[in-house]
Amino acid sequence: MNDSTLRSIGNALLLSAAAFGPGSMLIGCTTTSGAAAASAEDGQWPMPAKDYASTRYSALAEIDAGNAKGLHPVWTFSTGILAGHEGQPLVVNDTMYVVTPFPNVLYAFDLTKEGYPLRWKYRPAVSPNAIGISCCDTVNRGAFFADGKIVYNLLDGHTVAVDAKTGREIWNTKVADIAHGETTPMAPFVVKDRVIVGAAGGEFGIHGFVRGLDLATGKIVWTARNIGPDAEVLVDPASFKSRYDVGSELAASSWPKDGWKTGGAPVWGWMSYDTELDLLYYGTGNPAPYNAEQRPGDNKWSSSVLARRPSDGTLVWAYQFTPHDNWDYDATATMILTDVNIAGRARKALVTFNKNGFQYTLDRATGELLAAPPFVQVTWATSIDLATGRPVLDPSRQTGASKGTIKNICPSLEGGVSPVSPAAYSPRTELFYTSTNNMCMDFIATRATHIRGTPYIGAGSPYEAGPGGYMGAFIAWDASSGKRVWEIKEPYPAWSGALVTAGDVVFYGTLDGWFKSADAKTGKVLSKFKVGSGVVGNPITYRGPDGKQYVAVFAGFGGDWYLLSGDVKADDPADVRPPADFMKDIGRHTSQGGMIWIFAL
Amino acid sequence: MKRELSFTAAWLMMALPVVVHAQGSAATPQVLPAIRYPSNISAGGVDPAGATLTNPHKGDAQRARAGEGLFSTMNCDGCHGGGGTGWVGPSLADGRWRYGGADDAIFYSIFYGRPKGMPAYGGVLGTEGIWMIVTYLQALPVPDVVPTQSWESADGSAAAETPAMVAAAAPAQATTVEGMFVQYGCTACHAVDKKVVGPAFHDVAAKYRNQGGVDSALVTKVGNGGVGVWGEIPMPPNAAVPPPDLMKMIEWILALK
Repeated sequence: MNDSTLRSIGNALLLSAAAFGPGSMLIGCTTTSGAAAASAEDGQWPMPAKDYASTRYSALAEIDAGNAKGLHPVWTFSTGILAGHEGQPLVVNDTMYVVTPFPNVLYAFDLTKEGYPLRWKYRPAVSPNAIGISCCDTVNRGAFFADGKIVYNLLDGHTVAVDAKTGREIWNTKVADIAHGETTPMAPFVVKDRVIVGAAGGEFGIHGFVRGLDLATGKIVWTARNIGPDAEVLVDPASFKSRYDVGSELAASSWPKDGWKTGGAPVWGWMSYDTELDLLYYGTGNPAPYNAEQRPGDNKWSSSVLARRPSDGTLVWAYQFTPHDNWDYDATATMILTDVNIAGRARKALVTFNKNGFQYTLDRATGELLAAPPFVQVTWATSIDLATGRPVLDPSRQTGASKGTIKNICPSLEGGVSPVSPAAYSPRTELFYTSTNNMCMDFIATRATHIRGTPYIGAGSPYEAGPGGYMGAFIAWDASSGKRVWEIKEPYPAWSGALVTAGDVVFYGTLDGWFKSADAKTGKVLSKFKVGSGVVGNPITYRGPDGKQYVAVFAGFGGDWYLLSGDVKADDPADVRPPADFMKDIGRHTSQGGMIWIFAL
Repeated sequence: MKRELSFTAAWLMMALPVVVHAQGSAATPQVLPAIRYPSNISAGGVDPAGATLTNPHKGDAQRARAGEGLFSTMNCDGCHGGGGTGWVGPSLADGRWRYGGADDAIFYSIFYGRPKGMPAYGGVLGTEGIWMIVTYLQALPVPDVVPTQSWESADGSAAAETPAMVAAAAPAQATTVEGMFVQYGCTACHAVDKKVVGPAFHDVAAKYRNQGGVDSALVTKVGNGGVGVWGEIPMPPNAAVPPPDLMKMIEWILALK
């Protein structure tokens, strides 16, 4: 079969699935296991990570290691927005959908016409107050296509569903409250007739949660807190199992009295779904405040992974990566579902690269920890004890307001990898690909006051480059052996997502504005092009209406880096900032400005 | 004062520092506050009628230091960055002002908030406290990086320096307890004989004076901050206050009759 035949089959599957209702949709492009990735590649990109297993792997192979040097830009479009362009476009039925950062415009480009003119755009009403309530730039991490709808979050705590054909709003539901410090930068995740969303606000002392909405109407069906009493966390004592904890009320008893009410544990990253186990996986962010002396205890389930039933939100199992997190090690990174060979045995695994510097491999049915090697320099702990599931801490690197300045903590709170930058997995090479940061920090905690709607942090954390002086690297990683297979060092923190294809090519972007492709087997850089601004978004690939393979990525410096390197700003003459002291020259190479780039041979 | 202030009432409250003892006086003219800063253009070249507020403590080093503490404990630095050099919120240390840098313009920004997410602090911070923060911001040194930033200095590094994170002049240590209340920012929210956003010291004395041995407990309480005893407006921690000074201030309060 040639490519265009495959594409027709893919489209037919999608269209017929839509006709039969949400329960059967997306069968052409979902898989529970990267190892069993769809052989009939439909060439589309309907959800943030392309598939439910969050592989960010495409079976398209027209672009390969032999010809990738011929990649060049074929189209660009300015989004008109300056904030950090995290997330990624979707491509469904010859249409590319792009959500911008605040004010969250949704563009629908017609890929069948020259110059890709807009079919429509949707400009929602969204409160500018969200600008000041978002901790780390006014970002948006993308949309989800399901049942003929584009579903995404507005920054001010609303989830919307827009008709993918007409651009008309179908429903608009308030899911979070900016007056309580809650914003909604994540991409929603759709399983059957449920839209799952959560809120950011770990820096505002929110009471972290996820909600399940009805896909047809937007009505909130269930709400599950990540911290607090079992009844609110949706723990069914009869069925809930935490492999490393006993007892009930774990998410309340591991806090001081009422501490969970302002304890953070936000949800702003990525979600995955195993269709056989019927389990939804997502990570939670940091406990609040950063000053851990105000919240003695493990602070469950902050900095954790939770496995829930998507239909009603019931918590099935949970695992806490960083108990009593006192370094801001959010666990909101992508959870990749694939088979991993552990001690000679193929395991149905969940693989994640945590901010805390360890790469965790868990049994995704039970939450059993199978392996946890460090993937970057780590100083806060020496290892993760596989018997207890807990880190073996370095007592000299525990922070708190009474402890003064704690020096040389690695990784920095930007993470060994940022959750913003999702990894990819290729079933062909059986390797994971991810951006990493080589940065350490000092940590100075102070007592914080919770004043609703204002930041609730209580720490400062000056950064410095880790060993070697470079601040980032894009790496290939073998989860079976726990080793780097290759790396491409970068002078600045690496902050884009990864994409890998059946052509054995990986794609990523850099903070100083290069978009690169590399050989997935060797790490040899095959092509690079200086796009208009630093890349903090995630590349995707798709088959165009002409049958050719395209690669798309956002440029648009931002996220934490626009805050740290405020000298890249040029839009407000009343706001002139110094450069970051650890990265004084990034402003020499980039400035803000959102662009969509498409590359092809 | 009720939380739901009428505009006039709010204006009267703001005017307190400059029209001392004028609260409730029917003779006070009900003049609209002026919103007037250099980037505003008046139609016809005629400024709207309006009163101006002036910072009664401009240049006061003790209040600037107290304002620096409030800038952290009231969570301003969570959005504007340590030293006010900018984060999600704009830089306040570059000598430039999105909504004006005159005394009243900065005061309004803090009291009423601004529409891109700057919360209104007028409900949780007394006017004295807002003036302390204004005094601190006005004392920040403007860094060299404004407006030229060059990467072509001899060593190839950026020419810019991160501005100092404290107000330039270190204030003299207060010699009286009344001076300590100012120096440590207590008067941001408290007064002796009336409720501001925190309770009157008289009321604190009435509550605690006859509870033996409460002094050291209060030292911890004041040092850590808290919420709930006097309502839902939290008191921020006062970690920078030396415990002996805290003890002196608490003893002074409890001795009030």
